[in-house]
Amino acid sequence: MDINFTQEEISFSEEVRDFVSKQLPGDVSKKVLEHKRIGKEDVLKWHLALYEKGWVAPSWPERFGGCGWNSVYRHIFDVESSALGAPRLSPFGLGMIGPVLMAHGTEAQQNIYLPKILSGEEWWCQGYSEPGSGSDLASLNTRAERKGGSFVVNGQKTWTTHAQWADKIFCLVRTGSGTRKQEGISMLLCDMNTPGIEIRPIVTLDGEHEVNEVWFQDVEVPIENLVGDEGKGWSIGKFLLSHERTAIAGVGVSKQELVYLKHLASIHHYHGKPVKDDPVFLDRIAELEIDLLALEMTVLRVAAGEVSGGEPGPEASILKIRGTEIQQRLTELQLEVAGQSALPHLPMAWGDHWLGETPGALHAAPLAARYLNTRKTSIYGGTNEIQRNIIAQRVLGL
Amino acid sequence: MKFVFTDEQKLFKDGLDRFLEKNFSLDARRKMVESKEAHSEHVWAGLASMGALGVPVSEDSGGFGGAGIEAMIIMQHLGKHLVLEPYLSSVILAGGLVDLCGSEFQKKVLIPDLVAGEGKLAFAHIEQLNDEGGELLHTTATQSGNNWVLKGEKKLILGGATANRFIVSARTRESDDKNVGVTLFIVESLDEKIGGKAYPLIDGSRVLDIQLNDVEVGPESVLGTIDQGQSAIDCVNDRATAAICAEALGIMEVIHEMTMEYLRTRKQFGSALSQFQVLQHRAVDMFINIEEVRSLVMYAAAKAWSANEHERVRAVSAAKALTNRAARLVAQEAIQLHGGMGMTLELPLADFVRRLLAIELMFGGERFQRRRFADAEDQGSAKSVYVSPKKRWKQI
Repeated sequence: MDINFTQEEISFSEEVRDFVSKQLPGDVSKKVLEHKRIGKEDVLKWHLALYEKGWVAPSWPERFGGCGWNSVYRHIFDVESSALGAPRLSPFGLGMIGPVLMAHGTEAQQNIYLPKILSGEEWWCQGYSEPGSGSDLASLNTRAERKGGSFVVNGQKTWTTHAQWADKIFCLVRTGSGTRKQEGISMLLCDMNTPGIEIRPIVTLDGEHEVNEVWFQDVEVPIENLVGDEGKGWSIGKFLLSHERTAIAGVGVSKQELVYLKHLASIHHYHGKPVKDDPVFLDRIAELEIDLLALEMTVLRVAAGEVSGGEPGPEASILKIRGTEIQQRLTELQLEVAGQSALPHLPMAWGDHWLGETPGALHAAPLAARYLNTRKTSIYGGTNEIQRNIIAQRVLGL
Repeated sequence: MKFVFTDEQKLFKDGLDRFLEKNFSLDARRKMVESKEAHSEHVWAGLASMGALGVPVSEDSGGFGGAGIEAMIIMQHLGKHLVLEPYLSSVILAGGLVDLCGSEFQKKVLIPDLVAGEGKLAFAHIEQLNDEGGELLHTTATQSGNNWVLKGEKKLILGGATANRFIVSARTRESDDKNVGVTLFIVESLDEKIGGKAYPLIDGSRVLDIQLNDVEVGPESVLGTIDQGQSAIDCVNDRATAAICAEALGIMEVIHEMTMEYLRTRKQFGSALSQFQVLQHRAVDMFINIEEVRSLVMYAAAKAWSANEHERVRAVSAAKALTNRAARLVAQEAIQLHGGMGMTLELPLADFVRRLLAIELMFGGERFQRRRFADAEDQGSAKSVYVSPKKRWKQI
């Protein structure tokens, strides 16, 4: 057992730092670090810089145009790039449907879709949840019926993140029936410009438009857009959830947010003294920092386990729960430090080109909205309660 | 970076587990506690014959080498079996001081005995129980010719009841700086000028308080450099703290397994308790806490033996703060999920809960350790592989 980084790993982190500091556009990193609104064009700028370098798909094997990095390298990349304000790339192509196609897609599907995911030419979104199917995803009702060389899709998906940015959607649909609700589900790839698809924005608690409803009315999807076998979509959909477990912890961003929290605690005051000198606050920040350190070591345990060829152990199952709890606590503490300066609500102040006056403080303007937005993390990707069910059943055998 | 044990470590771990399984039982422990025996000579000799007492004493000093990870393995198993043996006090604390500061001659006299299980050492350091972190020592050592005369009181000496030698910390120079003026001395426990009183802790282990009534020792008893003992004391205290977190991990694993077993077998309302989601989620939270502790126990084990003091302090304090919080949660939930049975002294759970509580109270509490963790950051000697973006914030 050796928990120190190897010389190669240290050199790699230096290489990443060097690349990011030179190639990450300054306006993009400024927005990320100041919690301003991030647009598709911001993400695309960073995507293209990474594409040019050959670093856009860290987890993909080299034969598909990825880096083939192991999970320790991916962790280092995550931490180093997040520290310098790199935006998170859209995960739906690179992290989700890409790996699904590599494992379950036809050669034709791989040739058609993978290169455009890498180049940033095509953006994807995910059609899983439905109004009646949240935690109980397998109860989904969107139907696809075979008609000649096509499936005809009818139904509604919801909570579709960045559907408004997407060129394609991958969906779980019901193509048949079985004795179990998990049977008869298939995965389809669908062009967002197909007639019959309608996007309806959902404005969330923070006042922002990030997620959508996606409606399907007699949407024709060519039969060659079926991924894997008909009726076997459930296991493919689940494969996606087990991919890149270490990324879900969000350690890189949380480390960055912790630095920001400490910064806030040095510029906000109680009775004229910096909040960081308040012993109660110091204790709470230290507790959070220690929890984050434990999370990072857990991520590295999982990562190192994967590198040595083992299956992820039980420790992998806690990453979603603890990772998201820490993200939420960070936004809570930031908000608490900012206090009344985060009261003024000026959504335009965290958009582009804001030159106006900001009551309160410019840096504090997005904090309340961001706190509200971050409540989503314990709900999406399988609620934290569902995660606890999974651990109880699969790990503890209860 | 590798988180898996080497084959050698695995072999040692399994051997230790088998030995303790066979030679130590909870019943035996309860009898020893009742009869005021501090520990079992038989088990101690067995640990010696396995080579456990020479780990992690450096090979240069006459030990078998190894470091934090090996100490972690041993302590985790001593926790799992709830062993009373004074490994922490004799090998890690006092043995660690000899290893760090001893002269060639002192090592030659002390280490082979320690490794063979024939000589036991204990570290006599704590004086004021109401001052954690023990700022200033009151025990003094004054020179008398070539000799030194020690005067003062030492309390809560772990493993003290059966030790044949103490390593005693004493003030040899007046100073307001706690890092200056402390010297370590090797003192025979049978010295007639030492008065002692042994008593049990909440977990049944026995400790010792002593009075040093003008105990005179020769110059060969000075361990390390005169006036410069504090850094070695901080170092072994950190190693012991990391080690006791590993022991707590072993204990919490057992408590969790006991609780899972109880949930699976105990029936109410016509079904096993394990079928109730509200209980499942509490069991999961126990599990999550234990896995977090495991991560920081590994981290602290590696850093406690590192030369970088800043990293050592941060890692050890983080581990102890987290271990304490988790220990509280795991013990309380185990008692609650066992219902009325969790309140009895009859179940083995009781012994594990009491030892866990003792560990919580030793080597600094949760807030004490978090404060130490936070204060260590400001010393600014951190060498992380990660860039610190702090400067960036100054521009905003």
